[in-house]
Amino acid sequence: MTLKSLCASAVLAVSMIAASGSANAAFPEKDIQFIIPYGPGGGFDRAVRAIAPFLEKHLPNKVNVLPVNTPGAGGRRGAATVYRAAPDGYTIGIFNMPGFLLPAILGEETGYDLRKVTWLGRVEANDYVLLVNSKSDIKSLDDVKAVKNATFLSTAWGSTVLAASQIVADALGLKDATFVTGYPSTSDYQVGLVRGDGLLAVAPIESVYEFIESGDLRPIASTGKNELLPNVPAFSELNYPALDSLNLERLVGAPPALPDDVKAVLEDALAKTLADPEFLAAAQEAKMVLRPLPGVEAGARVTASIDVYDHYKPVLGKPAE
Amino acid sequence: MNRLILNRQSVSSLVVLAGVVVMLAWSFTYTGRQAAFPLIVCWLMLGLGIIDVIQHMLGKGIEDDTDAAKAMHTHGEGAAPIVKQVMTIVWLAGFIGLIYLVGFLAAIPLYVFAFMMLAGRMGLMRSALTAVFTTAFVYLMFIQLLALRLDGGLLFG
Amino acid sequence: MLDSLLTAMGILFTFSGVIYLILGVLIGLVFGAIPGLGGTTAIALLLPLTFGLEPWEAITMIGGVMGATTFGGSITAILLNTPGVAPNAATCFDGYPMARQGKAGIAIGAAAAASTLGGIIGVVVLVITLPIARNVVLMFGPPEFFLLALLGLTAIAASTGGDTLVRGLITAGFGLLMSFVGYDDVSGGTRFTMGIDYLWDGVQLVPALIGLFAIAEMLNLSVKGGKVANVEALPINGVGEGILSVLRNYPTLLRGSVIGTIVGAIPGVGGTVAAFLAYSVARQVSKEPESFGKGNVIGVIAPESANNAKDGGSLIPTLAFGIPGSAEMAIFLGVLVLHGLTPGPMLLLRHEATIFSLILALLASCIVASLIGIAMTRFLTRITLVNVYILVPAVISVALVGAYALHASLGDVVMAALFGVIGYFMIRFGWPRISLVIALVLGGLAERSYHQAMTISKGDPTVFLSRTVSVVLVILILAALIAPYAKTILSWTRRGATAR
Repeated sequence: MTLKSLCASAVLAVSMIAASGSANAAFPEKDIQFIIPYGPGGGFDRAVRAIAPFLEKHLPNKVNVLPVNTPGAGGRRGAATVYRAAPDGYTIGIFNMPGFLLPAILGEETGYDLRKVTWLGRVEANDYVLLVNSKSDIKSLDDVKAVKNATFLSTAWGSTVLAASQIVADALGLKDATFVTGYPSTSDYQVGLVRGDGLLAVAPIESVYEFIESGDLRPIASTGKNELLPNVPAFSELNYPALDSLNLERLVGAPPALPDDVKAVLEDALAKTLADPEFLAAAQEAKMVLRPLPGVEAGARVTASIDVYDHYKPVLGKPAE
Repeated sequence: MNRLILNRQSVSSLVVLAGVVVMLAWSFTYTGRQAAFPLIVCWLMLGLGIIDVIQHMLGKGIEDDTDAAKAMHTHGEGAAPIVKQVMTIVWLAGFIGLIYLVGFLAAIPLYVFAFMMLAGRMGLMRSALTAVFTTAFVYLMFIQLLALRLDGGLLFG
Repeated sequence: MLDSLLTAMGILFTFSGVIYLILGVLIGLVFGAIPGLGGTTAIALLLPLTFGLEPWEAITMIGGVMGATTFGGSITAILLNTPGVAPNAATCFDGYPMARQGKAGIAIGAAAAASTLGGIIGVVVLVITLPIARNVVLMFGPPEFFLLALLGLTAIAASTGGDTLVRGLITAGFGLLMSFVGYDDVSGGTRFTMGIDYLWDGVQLVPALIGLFAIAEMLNLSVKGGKVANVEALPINGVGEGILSVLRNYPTLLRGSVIGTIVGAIPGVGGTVAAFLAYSVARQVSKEPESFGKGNVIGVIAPESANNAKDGGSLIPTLAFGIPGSAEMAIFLGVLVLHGLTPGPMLLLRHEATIFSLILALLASCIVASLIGIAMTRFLTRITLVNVYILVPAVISVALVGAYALHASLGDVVMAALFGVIGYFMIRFGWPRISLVIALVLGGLAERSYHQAMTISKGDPTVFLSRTVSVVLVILILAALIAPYAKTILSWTRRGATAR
């Protein structure tokens, strides 16, 4: 190769690199990583694996959308991974609201700021339900309010379930409620409730539906009208409208300061996915509770949640030793 | 008063006792329910650690001729010059560093080859072959069969 | 129920059913045998790949993996003194001495038969317990879990015995302290993390096991040099004799399997504790306990039957309520979720045929794995003749990939290496490792259950004696503590009587 042709190739290469850097209209050009902040096999994992192939289908150009499990620190590792990634559209992730919000409310370091995340849309939203053992005498919300020394069962400190339980207990005026925390998973404390370790529990309907169906547990009220439990009143119907704002949402987000054109491509593909009849069938099979929202509304939901949980901050602290 | 025994065993007992004291102090920095179990465990370990030091330094109360004890001691016995022990650990540390820098797929053949040639003094051919086979096995098993993603470390990531 | 069973059999005994089973068994054997990998990693890696499969295909394959891993691991335990997976750690105690005496074939044969029969007995106990599974699970609440964990910890004390008693307890203490590292689920706040993010989740069991057993052994080997086996030509016949020895020692087999099933049913405890408990009970009831650790085949039969029986046991809480009885079962439930089957109290009612598929796959896997293993014994024993400088880097490489694979975390790799160094020094200076592991497994359960029990009872300690089960457990704990000294006490009283 002569020096001249070498220089020419170099100039060509540099200009091509410069051109591709600014031509985001060509996005996406390589595989996109879809971060799952939990290990394989959970609800978030399932959601992403169901969405990914359809996202591929609805994105321009033939690129792969690769689900990547990044578990750790209760989801914080995955969330921080997305937050810190380059804002080029090649890293997106699924977020747990209010799960990822609570550490900040409880005064812990997180490595991400939910207000700055670029929100691409909401996928699922699950309401909570207040439960008792079917054998108990408690049959209505009024019965619950009359309980002295109520014991709530829940998962670990800092979990969304505990936060929801504390907020419900406070709203219902259960001043001397105790919380037995630390059950490893939702199933564990459901069984605890059946066993009689405690009186009450709050759980996402999706996780607990089997126990209601089997007749082990009785639902008292839910944080929103739900097709799965048509006979269960919503808190708003029982004069506690504030409690209806509690739920568990799965949102798709990208690093902050994502360029608008890239964001538009991703948002559009996600919206098309969530409307795709084939996807709806797959989601149905995977028992997903789809409640899609586009990016702007999803962002608004996040801000609203932050306000709600901020408002309840005093209730969410640790118990006295 | 018997002579104090200072051998491999008793020195390790002292080191462990020191470690227990450190953990006990650390446990004191926590309060309430959080501190309960760590403190109980540390106090018990302190008592046991002192017994262990006494047993090994004064040679009292050890039935050194039970077969389980013998088995445990011979397992770790044998010629083990300090240099060799240190080098073994250095090799491991080096491998980890290599993984961090260039990722598994580059680090594995380098490490296997270097270890076999330098530490094991096995020939060029055997070292290269083993390096290739090990890497191929990892590639086939993890990347192909199980779709694991192994990125390229700091340099090639 | 019968027609679900027949449906399940119809699925398994088809061409593709057998293929998926054998694929699972092979993956299980390989992952089990290579130190550092294991069933949990295998299934976690397989999970996303099952997305495109039919539920029964995924389940058959995973059942195949589950039934095969501990037998695969027993082979490495016997030949290399390195447990392939943690539940094989107890198999090293007698299996390796047997290999060094040229009896590797007998040991492998015994392990094969014990694994198969243990797995079968585990499934049988599962099926018998199914009608009362719910009640059984409901009998065990936080107070009972605390007592169970305490029982497991006292078993360490009772069995390490002799010179290593004090040291066994100290390393168990370190194991407990390690289990306290990280975020405290019950009270909130982090402990012993020094601000390191990675430690928020605590000391992860899998990297710790990989380090303490696989890497530490490799470090020890590379310092000692030479070959693994002292015997020049390893006779590998005797497989048949090994199999027969299991049948001859059927009380050990039964005891080990029952212990395995019961411990397997306790969520979060798993095969390591089951195998170790079975080993120590076998030693306690033996007429010649000093022969353990020198190549007594019973020391192979007990843990190997337990670590296969645990698979059946771990299905009990899984089927009753959807609570996974082991780490592999937890990921398996994830596979179910992926395929639209919801774990929970209705799982068995709604998807009987699918569950029977799993049970059958587990059964078949125990048998097939042992057959394949036996067929390959001659080839496998060659490993002990391989030069350590080839073995060490290869095993360390694969083990560290295995440590990485589970959570895609380099932190796990560093942790494994650190534990490798710690484990090496424990070998060198004579500190038992198995008690550290048992304590690490049980510590979290013990602390959490204790605090939960006290919150439930509002500070009343009699909660630990409130159910029949808890009283039984307390008696067992006391018995375990007194047992080693029982013989001494008896001989005192006898001497006292004759002196008069």
